[in-house]
Amino acid sequence: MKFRLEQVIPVPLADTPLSEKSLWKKDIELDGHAVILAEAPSGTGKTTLLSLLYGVRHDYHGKIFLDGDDIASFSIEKWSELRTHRISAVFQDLRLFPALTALQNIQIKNQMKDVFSESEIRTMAEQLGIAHRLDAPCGKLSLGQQQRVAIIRSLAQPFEFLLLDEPFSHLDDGNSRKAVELILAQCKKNNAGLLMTSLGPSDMFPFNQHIAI
Amino acid sequence: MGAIIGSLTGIVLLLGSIQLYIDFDRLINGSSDINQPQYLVINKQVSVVNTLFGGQKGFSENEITSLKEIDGVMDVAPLTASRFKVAMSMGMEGMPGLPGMYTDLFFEAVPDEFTDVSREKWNWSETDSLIPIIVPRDYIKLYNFGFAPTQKLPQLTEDMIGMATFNIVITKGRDRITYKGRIVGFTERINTILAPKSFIDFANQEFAGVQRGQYAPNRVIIRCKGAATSQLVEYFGENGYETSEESLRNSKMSSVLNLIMTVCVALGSVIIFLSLIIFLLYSQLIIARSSYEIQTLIFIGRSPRKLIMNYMKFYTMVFSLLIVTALLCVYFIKIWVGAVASAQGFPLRSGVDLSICLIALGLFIFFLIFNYLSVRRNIVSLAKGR
Repeated sequence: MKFRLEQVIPVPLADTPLSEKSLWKKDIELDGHAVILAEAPSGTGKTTLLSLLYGVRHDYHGKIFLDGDDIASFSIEKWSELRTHRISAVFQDLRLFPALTALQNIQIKNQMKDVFSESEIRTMAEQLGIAHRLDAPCGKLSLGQQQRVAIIRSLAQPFEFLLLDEPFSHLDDGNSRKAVELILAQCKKNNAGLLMTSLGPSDMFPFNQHIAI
Repeated sequence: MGAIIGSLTGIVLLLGSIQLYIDFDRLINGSSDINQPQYLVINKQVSVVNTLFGGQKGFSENEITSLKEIDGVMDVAPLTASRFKVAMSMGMEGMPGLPGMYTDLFFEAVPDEFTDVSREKWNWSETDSLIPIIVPRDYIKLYNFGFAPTQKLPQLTEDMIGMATFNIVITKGRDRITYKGRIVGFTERINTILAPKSFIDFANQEFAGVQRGQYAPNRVIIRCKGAATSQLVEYFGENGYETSEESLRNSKMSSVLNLIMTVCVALGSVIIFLSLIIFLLYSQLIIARSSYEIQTLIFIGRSPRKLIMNYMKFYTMVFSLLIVTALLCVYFIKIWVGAVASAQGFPLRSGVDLSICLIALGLFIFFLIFNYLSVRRNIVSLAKGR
């Protein structure tokens, strides 16, 4: 899948001075198979970019095309289909259900397409070091643990493009590396690319496209 | 919960008042004279002028024709008055226990189809010596409760009166011609003593030398649709016609009933409207309270349509219960009202009418659609994010 942005600028940023390198108000292509790093200081619209691509924000000028179709024309049902089959995301605010257990949070997504068995989920949790917390309510988990639950959940569906919004902000380097390993393995399995946002330079993934915001 | 009680009250009030309206309407119009044709006898006002200068003015052909043209008037016919001197006498042979009586009398006649006595009893031809007569039902009451006690006479039933015959004595010059008379019926329709038209026409010519149609009728009888009476009353007022106010009582009753039912329906509608708003607020609140969950579900790929349907399943259940409960309430209220009403002598039909069930179904659909629109609007706005 391929996104094409033409002269896009989010409405809230319309009056902000933009840096030379910024992707806003330019024509740019994001290939779903690439491993992309979007790097920028806070407040420049990284989360907004992901929200636009994920269809949860619509307040922008310019045009965004997904495989040639203007995403402004997509219905909410079309978006829900995309989010079930083609695009997955780890949100910056994670969007977990605090009252449900970590496992239930993952299953709520997993059951839609039945991607993993419960033991596979437990294995992944093991890999990320949160297996012992799977049956605790998410609200009781630390932010780092929650982040790992959200990562596993994002992998529990078929996808062609994975959007990661500062996915390791609460993880130490060691745990981040383990998560990267898991994500890359799933991307390979799905033949998918990813777009990760970061506040600074990052070498977590073998990035082959860098964009500035 | 408040919304449920509120809607229940509103729906019960609305359905109940419509149901009772239908019942009472059926009662009033079914058993007496409203939607069945109603009969009005009208005359022109008697003024000093026509008392002094001889004779009332009768109804002309034109006036009768224009009466016929009024909306709702089905038929108009003149009352033919007797123009000969006639008296009634009752000898000892008439009725045991009754003393001899003698009284001057008059007759009027209407076309046969305006009487409510069967044809065979109401026939008269020149060879018959027995004249059938209809008197107002009030006359028996006058006799039984007014006259009889003062004269120490026995009270009589309609049947007993029907068995008696009496003499009808017509005076022509010096001759006295005697017929037999029998009361064959009582009426609340026309406040006069009726004899068959064939007899009056014959006797007017025979004994008074008056031809048919020689005199314009002083009174006319109108058969009209019950619903048309208010319009008629207006027309009568404009033309100086008089009618017995009492005969319009039913139409007044029915308009009072209309008013009460309109008030109840309006009240019910207002309550339903208010509770609908409470429902909407409630459903918005439910969605708002779980807006994070709903939005998150949608953001991880759940179909908004399915979420809306889940909510609608819930509301369908709530509204079905609501409507069924309301119908049951109406049913039980009707049993109660029916018991009260039949104790008062108004038998109501039992059960809830189909039309009420249809209205309930309509309300159910209306509620569902309204809620669906609200739920969809809220969920779509959550799904869209910003």
